[in-house]
Amino acid sequence: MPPGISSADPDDLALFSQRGLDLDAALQARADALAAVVGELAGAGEPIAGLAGYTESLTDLVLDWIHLDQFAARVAEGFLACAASVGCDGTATFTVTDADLARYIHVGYADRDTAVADAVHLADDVRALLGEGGITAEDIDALLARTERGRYDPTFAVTFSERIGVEGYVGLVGRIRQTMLPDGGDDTRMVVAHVEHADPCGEVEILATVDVPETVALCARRKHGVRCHDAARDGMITRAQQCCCFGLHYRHG
Amino acid sequence: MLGEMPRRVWPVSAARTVPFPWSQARAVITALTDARSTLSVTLDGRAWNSLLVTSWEGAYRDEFDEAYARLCAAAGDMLERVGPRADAVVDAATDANREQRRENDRAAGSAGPGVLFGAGTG
Repeated sequence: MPPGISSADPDDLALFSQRGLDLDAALQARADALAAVVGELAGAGEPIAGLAGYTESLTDLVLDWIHLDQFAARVAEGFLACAASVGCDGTATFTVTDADLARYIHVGYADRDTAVADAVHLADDVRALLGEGGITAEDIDALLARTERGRYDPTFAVTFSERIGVEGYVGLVGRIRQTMLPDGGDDTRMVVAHVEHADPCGEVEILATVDVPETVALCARRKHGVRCHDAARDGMITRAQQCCCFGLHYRHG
Repeated sequence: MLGEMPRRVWPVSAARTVPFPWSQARAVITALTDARSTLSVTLDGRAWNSLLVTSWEGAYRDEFDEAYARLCAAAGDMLERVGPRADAVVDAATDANREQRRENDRAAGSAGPGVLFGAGTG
């Protein structure tokens, strides 16, 4: 396959993903059962060296498989949407340029470890940047560009949120406001950080919005635990502002 | 079944009972055996499933394959490590039995001849 070209049978890819997820469910049941009995053994005063670590590794492996199979499902959805856009039904192999495919694929990382590593790296860089002076709009753009894949990846989102914390979000949004908005963001019509107690289980939803001078329609996302307010419908931004949503579902302890 | 659990040595009368969670240990051996079996099925199943996506090519496939290879290697490693984990549980049970025999011997020595020893599945 030449560089920049992709192909797949969307239906087969979706089936492949579903079968993988079925295998994951079976393995997850085993991992959960093992974790329970290993916990009981340790609770009875007989912790066996290496057993708890093995159980954690197995659980981690299951989560990695689930993440990978969900990645395949997202890619299948992208191929299917791309095929549908040109009148194909997804039952045959579909070949497309990566540029065209990218318009329809909203997918995070294949490897959960990579998602975690990138989220940690980004969060650390954000923290470092918050401690510096003289941040430019290019610095902010460069940071946001690094969420290109991660914003579709629940593992990335959770890791980033846990790493940076609520204070980090508030600090980041403040810097974005100072750096990228006219008059340091002194625009009462724009809500730059919206924090609410979303539900009784202790979750807080945070929306960071970045204003750039371009008119782009907004849409709300709600997939795999990552959700974003429909800021346009909520009347939180003005007409000529593009909302670069980096909405992360942050779970408190 | 991974790791054959030894038959429990029961305390004789007047002997101290060596504490060991026999039922929990057996449950762990069963759970490890089940996990190993399902891991094997998962790897086999995935190998067959991959025939479904021979037409999937491109950058996302490359990314998938890289992660897939890592996870298959990790799963293989887990399969290799499960036996020693089960052996560790069996060894702990064996140690408990050994200590129970010592306790029984000690009790027998104190009580003189005629003390019965017991062994069973617990």
